[in-house]
Amino acid sequence: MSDEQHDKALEKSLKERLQEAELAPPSFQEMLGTTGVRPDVTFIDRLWNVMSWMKLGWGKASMLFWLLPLAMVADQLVEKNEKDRVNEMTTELAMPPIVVSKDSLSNNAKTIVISELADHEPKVTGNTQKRKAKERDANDPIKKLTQANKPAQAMLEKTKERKQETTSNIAIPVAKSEVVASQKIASLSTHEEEFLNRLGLLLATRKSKVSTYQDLFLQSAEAHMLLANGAMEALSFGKKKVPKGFIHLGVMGTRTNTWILNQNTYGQFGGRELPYKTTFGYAYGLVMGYQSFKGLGVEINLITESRKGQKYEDMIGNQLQQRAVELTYQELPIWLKYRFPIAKRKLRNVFIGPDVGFAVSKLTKAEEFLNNGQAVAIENRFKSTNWRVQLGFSSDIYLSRSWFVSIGVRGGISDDINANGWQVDDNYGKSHNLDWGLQMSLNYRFLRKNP
Amino acid sequence: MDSKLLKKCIKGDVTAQTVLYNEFAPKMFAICMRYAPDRSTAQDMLQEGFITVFKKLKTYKGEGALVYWIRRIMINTALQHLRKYNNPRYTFTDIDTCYELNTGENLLEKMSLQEVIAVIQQIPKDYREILNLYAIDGYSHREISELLGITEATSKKRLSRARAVLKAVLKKNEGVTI
Repeated sequence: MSDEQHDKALEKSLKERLQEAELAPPSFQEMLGTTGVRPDVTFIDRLWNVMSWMKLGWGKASMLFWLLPLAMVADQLVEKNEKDRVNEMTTELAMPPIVVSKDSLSNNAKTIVISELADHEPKVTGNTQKRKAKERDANDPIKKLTQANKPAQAMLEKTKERKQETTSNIAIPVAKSEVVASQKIASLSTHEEEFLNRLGLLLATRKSKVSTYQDLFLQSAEAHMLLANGAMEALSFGKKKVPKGFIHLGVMGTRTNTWILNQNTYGQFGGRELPYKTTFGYAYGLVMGYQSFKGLGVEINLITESRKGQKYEDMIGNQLQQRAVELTYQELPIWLKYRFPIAKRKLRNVFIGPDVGFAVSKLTKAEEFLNNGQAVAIENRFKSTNWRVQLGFSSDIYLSRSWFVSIGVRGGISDDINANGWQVDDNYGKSHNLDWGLQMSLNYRFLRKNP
Repeated sequence: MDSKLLKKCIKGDVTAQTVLYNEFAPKMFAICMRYAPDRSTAQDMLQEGFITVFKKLKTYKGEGALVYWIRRIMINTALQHLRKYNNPRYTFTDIDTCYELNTGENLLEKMSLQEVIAVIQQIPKDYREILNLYAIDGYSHREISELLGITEATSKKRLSRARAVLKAVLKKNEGVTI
């Protein structure tokens, strides 16, 4: 046999003996411990796990994000409606056409009249229209005001007697807004009221006596101009803009005081329930939300890790017995919140308000530690998913136009966390996760461009 | 292997992982024993190998039998471990003299499995790798060159020497009971 043949025969023999050979290995516990091998989970994996559990593919999940633009569209419609209302209101508050005898006016007044006449044509009243005009007069707030102003009243009587007059002899003495300011109108917004109060104040500073027809007219014209200039400023937030809703994204963290209400020791410590020891937990994740300019907002938190649990401690005999249960979840809280400014002048950038919502939680890890021993996996004792209701009160502090910090106290309570097979004992009591704590988030506002 | 079991293993279920380990560990341990110079190194390789298997299990697409997929991971892990903890144990003299020997295959048939593995473990690391990869695990020289980062020519040369060394070791162990 040649060397090559020898070698091939040797290798063949080796292969036959060793290729499918088996040897008794060390045990699983010896190699990989009691907890086995935890898979490496990235943030995307966690997000996908939550979505899979909720039976949401990326397609369906993207629908959740469409809610935000839909909310924006709805808000724009509301905003448009609001703008239309503002325009309507300013038009309503604007003066009706003013026409006077050119000959009786000073040079300054003439300038004003000419510009007014360029835009408006007065109406000539017939019999039917006269009757209607009389009905209007009975409810006309101008009439009510002129009743207190004798010269104006006299002038008004005079114009009434002149039927089919030309356009040059009719005068309407005062701005309608002055009457409006003196009446309480429930539908006005805070800013409308502010403006009207300001206007009333300005008019009241002028001397009340009106000695000539011209003065009366000028007073009205001035009020008209004030209306035109002041309306936008009064109805804005000081930047001559109508407030808009916005989307915001950010990161959040929470430090919590956590409890498992109604513990179950399952026969450990002689069946004795151990007293609770104060336990702290945490949570962190992403924030996204939509805040309407009306104050209402929606916020979704993607919490990648939320640590809950309970520590217990007691002296049994002469020995200190300790037990700790650590539960780790992924959570998807959804909040409905309302924000309002706490003060008009000072702290204008601070908005506070209540939060309410619900969350779904997915258990990722459950471990028990007895007397500071090694962790023992106990996931089988708990449900893999839970619901919880939550409440809170937070403040949004605007650091700049684009950034704000949200700080608040939030907490919640879950449904029964025990798995079905572990809801044992004659006097079974449900166990609930209860936690509350300080939540902080840093958010970026996505602002739309000004029209 | 049941896909539900694999999914549980991916999620980190200890029971499922124990079942999978018990199914494949005997074969994989034998592989590790062939590549390692001693039992404790083989155990280290087995541990690292299964950790890698469980972490990468989600990438297994079902192409080919699971045992071959695990086998590849185990062999790669073994080679990486040897690269990290290089411990050559041979002398120049051994290599020169062993070319003259033509023996071996009859002796192998008389030896127990543990004895054969012990013989393999006595071979120096570089030659042991080539012998395992080519003669037992069926890798080609091209695949070996990619795995070990050497040229095909070097792979062939090492195999030639590995055969000679194996014969020398077998001769040395002739009559030695393990």
